[in-house]
Order: sequence, then structure tokens, then C-alpha cells
Amino acid sequence: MTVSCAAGKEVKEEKKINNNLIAAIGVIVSFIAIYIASISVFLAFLGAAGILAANLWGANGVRTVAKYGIGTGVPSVGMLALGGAVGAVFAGLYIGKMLGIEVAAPILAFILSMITGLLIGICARYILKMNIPVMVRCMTEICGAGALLFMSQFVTITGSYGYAALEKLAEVGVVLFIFIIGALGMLHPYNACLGADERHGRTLKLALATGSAQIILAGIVSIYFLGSVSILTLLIGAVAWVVTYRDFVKTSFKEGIVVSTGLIPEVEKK
Amino acid sequence: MDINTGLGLVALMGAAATIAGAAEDLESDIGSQSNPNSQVQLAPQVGVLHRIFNKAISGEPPAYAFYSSIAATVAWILMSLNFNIFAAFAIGAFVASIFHGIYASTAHIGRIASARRYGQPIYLDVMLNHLPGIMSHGFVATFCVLVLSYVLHAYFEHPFPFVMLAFIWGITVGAIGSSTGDVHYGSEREFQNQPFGCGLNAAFSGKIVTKAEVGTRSNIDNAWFCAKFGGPATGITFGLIVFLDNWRSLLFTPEMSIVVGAVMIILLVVANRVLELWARKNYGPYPEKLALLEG
Amino acid sequence: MDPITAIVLLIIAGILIVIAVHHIPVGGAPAAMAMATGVGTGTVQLATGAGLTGLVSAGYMYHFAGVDPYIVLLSGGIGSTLMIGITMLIGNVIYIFGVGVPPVSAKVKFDPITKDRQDIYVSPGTEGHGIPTVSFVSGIIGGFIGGVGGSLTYVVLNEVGINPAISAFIAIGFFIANAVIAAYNIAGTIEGFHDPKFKRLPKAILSSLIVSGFIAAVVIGGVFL
Repeated sequence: MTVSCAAGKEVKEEKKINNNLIAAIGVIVSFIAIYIASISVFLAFLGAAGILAANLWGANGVRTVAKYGIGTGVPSVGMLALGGAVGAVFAGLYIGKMLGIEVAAPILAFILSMITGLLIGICARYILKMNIPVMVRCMTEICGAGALLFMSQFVTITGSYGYAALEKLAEVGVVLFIFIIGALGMLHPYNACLGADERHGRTLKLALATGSAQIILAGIVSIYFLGSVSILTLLIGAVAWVVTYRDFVKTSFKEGIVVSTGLIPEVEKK
Repeated sequence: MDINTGLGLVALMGAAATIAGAAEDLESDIGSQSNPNSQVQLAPQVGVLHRIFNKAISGEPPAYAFYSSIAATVAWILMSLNFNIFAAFAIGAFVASIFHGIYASTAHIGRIASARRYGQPIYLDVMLNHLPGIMSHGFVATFCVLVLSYVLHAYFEHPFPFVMLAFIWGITVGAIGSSTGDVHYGSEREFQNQPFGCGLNAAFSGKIVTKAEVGTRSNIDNAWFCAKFGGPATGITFGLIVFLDNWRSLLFTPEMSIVVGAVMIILLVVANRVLELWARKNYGPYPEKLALLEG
Repeated sequence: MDPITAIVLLIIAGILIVIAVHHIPVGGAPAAMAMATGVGTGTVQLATGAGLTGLVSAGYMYHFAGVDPYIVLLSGGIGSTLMIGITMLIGNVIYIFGVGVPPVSAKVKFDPITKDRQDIYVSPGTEGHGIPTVSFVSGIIGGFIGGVGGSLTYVVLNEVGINPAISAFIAIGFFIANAVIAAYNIAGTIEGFHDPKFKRLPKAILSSLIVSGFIAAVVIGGVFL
């Protein structure tokens, strides 16, 4: 069996996916999801939409910045998204509770997180002199997405987004579980699709699949906090995951060269 | 707790850590995760097509933190429902290994599909053959991380919650696996076509070995090779860290434990110097470089 | 503890973490193929692994032994150093017996500590391999400073009245954010304090000052509000 090296030419030029549109979806859908899901535990499953949107936005940010090759690998960017958001989320929710404005707490946490990201971006771009033009924008975006992902998870798991939720989750350590599934969800799509024929659309499809996997995990944990209501989250996550995972695998199989088995093909040496 | 029970528990933690480290390294060799992965990724670009699994989930530390946290969270929920702890650990580690398999499959498919222009095929049999090995080694590693976190949490009453300890030890075991055992896979096994006793010449980057002793090489062969040295060495590293660190805080007063720790560190520096001298004396300089001595 | 002291201490902790990361010899992916001197893994990963191991020791000391904070910090430092020291030692064992290369640095002609000749032991086409004494010592120093930095974050957050689990959570996020800043400054590989890249340290300290300053201000500011 011989596969020619010219296979690459068949890859079509894809149409551009607008980063601003993804950012808008990430912010708006997440906030709507966070607020609606906190109304009642029966609506907690709606937080799933927030998880998906925030994860998609973060993964897109990771892709945009990591495409430049930052020398430390894709994972560090993803870890930074959540790591930078930790302090801001704590401060935002705590201040919200102390001032008695719980409603504004997510917005405050989101803004503080964006500022943290902005500062990291400015430092990286202008002090550390990294030659990556999108650095400032992307660092701001991924830290913002990290904060939204945290709060979407809080609301899906416990049914509320306030400081009480953070405290409950932190005391049992589950908050670190949220941290790492969120970080992996954001960094995995680009890390897994890295290569010469990486395509934006395919990477985002994988981002949706990792987001759905997070919904399933959130559903498992929320059994402890919310009881049988969380079956809804689990079901939605399972359906979303099957759809998105199938979609990603189909796309990859269409774009790659799939053989069920065989020896290594001969390639003409350049 | 009396000192003998304490020592026994510390030894148990050390043993669990040793198994976890060894399984972790072999798992990453089956998937060629972490740093040696860069050569597998590069290979098609330099015209070396292969039948090797390309599991770029993320670096090993975040990946192991991920599996351990999932396993710990599930186990903790089951334990709060009064499950037997070992059943809870097993179910937790099982759930984690399912997610491990899912992420491993997307990483492999995604990366290989992105190498299309070099003509690298996605072999379905490679994926299906390797996933069980990856998931089962991941299961062993995660289970042992849970055991050691649980001992620390429940018997030594560590103030951090169980899930948090599992997360931290997950990061640590991943960091150790990618720093020690992977070197054996990356420097030696991937490049057995190079002479023993040299680092990889940058000119040969990506030219990994794709032929096995008989037939085509797969990662199962790599794990077989690394199980002789890289895996156990990783296990010993993690076991030593967990054992020594807890041993000194258990046996001595806080002030003395710092002194003991400092002595251990000095011994490590000395041991490293002895090793270095041994290697310099026995291996000697590279013949190609001897001209530098005169010039 | 008053807010200003707490903020200043947190900033110091952030700067310590950044300094620590610059000391730890990491070769990134090339080191895993014995193409570069240092431990064969990423900067953030190794530093985080070491820092968190120290955090476990420090957390234990802080809550049970009832000792002075400085003992807690030292204990965290020793915990991290043990982790990084054993990892580097076994790493070297693998380089020497598994790959058959002597540990050697390619950035200097003579090891600044042992005065051993380095360049003739570098195998052709590589940037050094293994962890020579100077990098080992640098790594030990880095591990210690990093452990102290991580534990300091944890202790300060506890002292201002945040509960242990949330303190540890914030400390982990804080550690990772600072480690990533340092990693961006290092961009791949560093051999230790003798590496020319080490001279870039002030830029990372300035960045860490800004970022940790902001995080510290919002966290401590929030608590004292």
C-alpha cells in the first residue's frame, strides 16, 4: 500500500471562524447560564451551557496564543487560565458576599480575573518581550474564560455561585478537581490537534467534546451536593458528549488517512 | 498513633508510591506521552512513518492530576455513601481510566489526522490495541495514588482534603515520571539505531526506530523495554520521595526533621558528585571532541 | 497580621517562586532525548511538582506541630528540595546507566563549582546532557526557595483567616501563575544559575511583582474589606 505525500493538497481552505464571535458566545452564554441555573436546583443543569461556552472560549484562546509557539508547551497556557483565575474568583465571590451583593459577585470575579490576565499578558508582551502580538488579548481571554468556567461548574455542581458554594467545594477539595478538569478541557483540544494540518473547526469540535466530558464529571459530583436532580446534568452531558465526540472522530477520520491495519507505507524520500 | 503503626503506614505509602511511579512511567511509554512525544510528532515530517501511539493529552503532571482528581472525587463520593474504601478506590480509578481512554483516543486521532500531508495513516488497530494497556496502567497508578493520599489524609490527619492530596500527588508523580523514566524511553528506546553512549544528535531528530525485533515496532514493545529500567527507576524515585519526606516528619521533632532533611539533601549532592565522577572516569571524553583539548 | 504586611509577604512569596524556577535546571523536551542539559521535563511542571510536595509538608507542620512559622517555611523548603534532589539524582542514574552519557553542561567550559572540564564530554550534536554538579546544586537551591515561597503563600493566607483548604487552593493557583511567568521568561531550557539566560531574572521579578501584587491586593483586600 502506498500513500503519496501529495495528500496534503486536497485539504481545502477553510472559512475563517471569528474569534470575537466565540468570545461573545463565551461571555454571554456563560453569564446567562450562571444566573438562570442559580434560580433553583432543578435548573442547575443549565449551568452545562456555561461550561460548554466558557470552555470553547478558553480553548480558542489557548489555540490562538499557542499557535505562535511559546517555548513552554501548550499545557502551561491552559494551567495559567485557571491558575490566574483562582485568586480573582475567590476575591470576587468573597467581596460580593461581604458587601451583600451576591448578584454582582460573578461579574466582579470575571472582571478581576480579566485584569489578572491582562497584567500577565502585558508583562509577557512588554517586560518579558515575548514576540507574540496576540499575547495581551489572549491572556485576558483565557483568564476570563477560566473564571467563567469555575463559576459555571460551581452552579452546575451545587446550584449556586456564591462564596458559600466555593467554601463547600473547597473544604472537600473538589475545587481542585474543577481546576484540573477545566484546565485539561481548555488545553487538550489544541494540544491534541497540534500539527501541520491542524484546522480551527476541528479543534473547536474537540473543545466541545472536552466541555461535554466536563458536564458528565460535574454531574457525577453534583450527586453528592444536589442528589437525584443531578441525573439531568448527567443525561445532558452524556448526550452532548456522544454527539460531539462522534462528530470529532468523524471529522478527523474524514481529514486523516484511516486504515484499519497494515504495514508502514513506503514514502519516496526527498 | 504509636510509632510502629506510623512507620508501617509510611512504608505502605512508600510501597504504594513505588508501584504508582512504575505504572505511571510504563503507561506514558505505551502512549509516548510527554517529552519523547515530540520525536513521534516530528517523525512523519522527516519522512519516518510509524505505527506508534501519539498520546498528547497534555504534559504528564496535569494529566495525572486529572486522573487522580477524578478518581479521588468519585471515591470520596462513594465513601461518603459508606462504600468499602477499596471498592471505592477501584470504582474511582475505573472511572478515571475511562476518561483517560477517551482523552487518549482524541489525542491520538487528532494528532495523527493533523499529520495528513506527510502521509501518516491513522491505524485503527494501533489505537484499539494500545488503549487497554494505557487505561490499565493508568488504573494501577491512580489506585496507588489514592491509597497513599488516603493514608496521609485519614491516618496522619493531614489538614488538606483527600481530593486535594490526590491532586497534589498526581502532579508530583507526573512530574517525576516525565523527568526520570521518560528519558530512558526518549533517549534510548526511540533511538536504538544510534550508538549507545551518546545523546541524540540534533541532525537525527525525528528519525525514530519503527522496526521491532520482529516486525513493526509498537508501543507495547517500548513498554516491554522500559519496564527493565525506566519504569522501576521512576517507581523508586516517587517511593523514596514519599517515604523519606514522611519518615522524617514522623520520627523527629519539627526542628530535628529539618536538620535530618538537610543532611539527606547533602547526601544527595554527594551521591550525585560520586556518580558524575564515575561516569566521567569510565566513559571519558568523546573522541570527536578531543581536538578541543589541544586547540 | 495586618493587610499591608500580608500583601508584602505575598509579593515576596511570588518573587521567591519566580527566582526558584530560574534556578531549577530544566531541559524541556530536548533533555528527554539527552539533547540538552537539565531535567527532561517542562519548567512549570517540575517546579509545580516540587512546590506542591513542599506544600504538603508545610501544611502538615502548620496545623499539627504547633511550631513557629519559620519552621513551617523551612519544612516546606526541605520537602520541595528532597523531591527535586531525588528526581535529579535518579534522572542522572538513567542518563548514566540507561543512556550511557556523563552529566555535562554545554553552556560553560568549566563547571564553576568543581572546575571540571565540560566541553569534551558533550556528545556531538547536542547541547549537553544530564545534570552536572553545578546544575544539581542550582536545582537544590531552586527547590528550597520554591518550597519556601509556596509555603509562605499558604501560611500568610492562613494567618489572615482564610480556611486551610481555600488557602491551599489559592496557594496552588498563585504558584502556577508565577511559575508560568518564569517559564515564559526562560522560554524552554535553562541549566541553572550559570546559564546566560539567568541574567534575564530581573525582568521576571518585575513581572511577578506586578502580577502577584495584583492578586495579593485583591485577595487580601477582599478579606479585610
